[in-house]
Amino acid sequence: MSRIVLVILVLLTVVPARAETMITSLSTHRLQITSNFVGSEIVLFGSIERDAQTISRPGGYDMAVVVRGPRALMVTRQKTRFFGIWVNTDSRQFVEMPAFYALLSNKAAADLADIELRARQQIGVDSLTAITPRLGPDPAATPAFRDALLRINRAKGLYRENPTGVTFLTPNLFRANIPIVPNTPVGSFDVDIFLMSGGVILARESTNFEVTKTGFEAFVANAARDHGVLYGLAAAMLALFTGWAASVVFRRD
Amino acid sequence: MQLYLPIAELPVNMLLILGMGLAIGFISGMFGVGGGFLLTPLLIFIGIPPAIAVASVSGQIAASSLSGTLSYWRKNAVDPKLVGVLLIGSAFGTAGGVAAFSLLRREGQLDLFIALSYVTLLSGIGMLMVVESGRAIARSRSGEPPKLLPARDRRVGTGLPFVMHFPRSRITVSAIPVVGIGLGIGFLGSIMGIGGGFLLVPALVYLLRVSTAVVIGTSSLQTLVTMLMAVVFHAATNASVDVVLALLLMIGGVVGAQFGARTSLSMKGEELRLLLGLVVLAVGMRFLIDLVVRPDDPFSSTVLEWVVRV
Repeated sequence: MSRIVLVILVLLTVVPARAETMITSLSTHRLQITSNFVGSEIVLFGSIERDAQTISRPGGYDMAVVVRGPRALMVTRQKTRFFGIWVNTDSRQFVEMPAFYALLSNKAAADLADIELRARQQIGVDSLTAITPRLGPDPAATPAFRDALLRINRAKGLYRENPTGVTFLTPNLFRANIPIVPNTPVGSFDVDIFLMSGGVILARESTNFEVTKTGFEAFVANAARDHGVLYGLAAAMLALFTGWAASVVFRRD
Repeated sequence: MQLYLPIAELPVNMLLILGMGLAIGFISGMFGVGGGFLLTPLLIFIGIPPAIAVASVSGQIAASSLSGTLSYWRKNAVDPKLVGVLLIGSAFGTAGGVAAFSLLRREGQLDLFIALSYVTLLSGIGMLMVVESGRAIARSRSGEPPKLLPARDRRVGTGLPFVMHFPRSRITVSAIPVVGIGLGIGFLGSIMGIGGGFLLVPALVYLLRVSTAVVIGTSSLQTLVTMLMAVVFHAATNASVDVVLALLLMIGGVVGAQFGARTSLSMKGEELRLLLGLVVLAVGMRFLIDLVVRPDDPFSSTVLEWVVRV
């Protein structure tokens, strides 16, 4: 049984191989955060391979590069007035949301494909899936929480769309600059590259990269996470030393 | 000059943080308070996550209160016995405060609790200070001699059990209110990211009637130990102490405090208290306005927990 499934799968992958394929490469698979980190970028290069049988695409090619950062459980809270003061009264949790999302493309997300396809492939901030495990007392209000989540993350620069983020150097060679924002989450990032034409996906490639702290930053972060008590004691010693040093330096009597 | 903070996970302008430490240090040296009640809100305002701001400021307060404590210690103006009893309470208070901090953060009510505490405590204390120092200034203007406090030992709450004598503070008092004050200050301090000096000093003066000669020194030592405990507890439970941020704040803070202390020598005590009262009141009002005015965006959003963290 599983062999039949395998054969079908192979056939399914082989048949569209007559169409375009892509070769892509990232400028780096590991971006290291050092003490002078203020944001950076990773460059994606790709070329579209055609063979003799490939039909011509009258509408030309479209590219969509979807970058998703590490996933997190996120919560969106709503304030309402309660005895004259503004209090968080309602909230929704959203599971497995990417802490960073970017769509780089050569045209606006809405012009790439219809909403069903974009939702299925998570192309565009507005088509991101946000699953909430508990609907709360008022399920009809949940879309407002989802919109707020997307809006706030856009405002923080963590969710972004760049409709001119993919540049075609030649009709078959493209480049995309993946932004790494200053307040970037740390962890592993997935990159999905879609070659599209006329609202249809012709080819798809996936790759990934990692954003990690390095050197002193990594040492501090690991110490804080793995040896909390020792780290706290070290921080306390540092405070004592600084205070003592100041009183020695500035001693007047 | 941008510097990446390894725990807060964002770059900050190093000079801005140093400058903030310097300014708050100046105020803290001038008035003999930790300055946490100003520094924590400022850090939150420039985008540092509240948990990291609160925990890192604790380190800064510890550093600045050590330099204060040392100079008072040399003048014999510290009552270690009183601090010892206060600490029994504040050890539990700090541990409880750090635990409550995590719980409130999870429930999304941390900001509200911090804001409400700031509004009530700062407005109350600020008001008291303004009224009291206003009266003192009026009294000195009218040329009336200040009331001299009797120099003998004062007895407070001696009807309760565990009566103790504190010769340095010149008081005889039951240990229960002392431990209670320590408990409250430790709890509030670790949640609000404040040393609690501006709460402890009035409590020691008005509730325990501690001799004014040792009040500030005793409060500094108590603040020092409480904040050291807060740093360790925050680091152990929330991993939220950013040493890079704390070090920047400490350096700015201890330097600023020296200049503040020099400035304060040229000012009268009641004028200083009036100024501090106005500053405290202003911060309290700022929090009140935030609570009552319709927010720009009623929604807020945060990461609750990471799915896989490498």
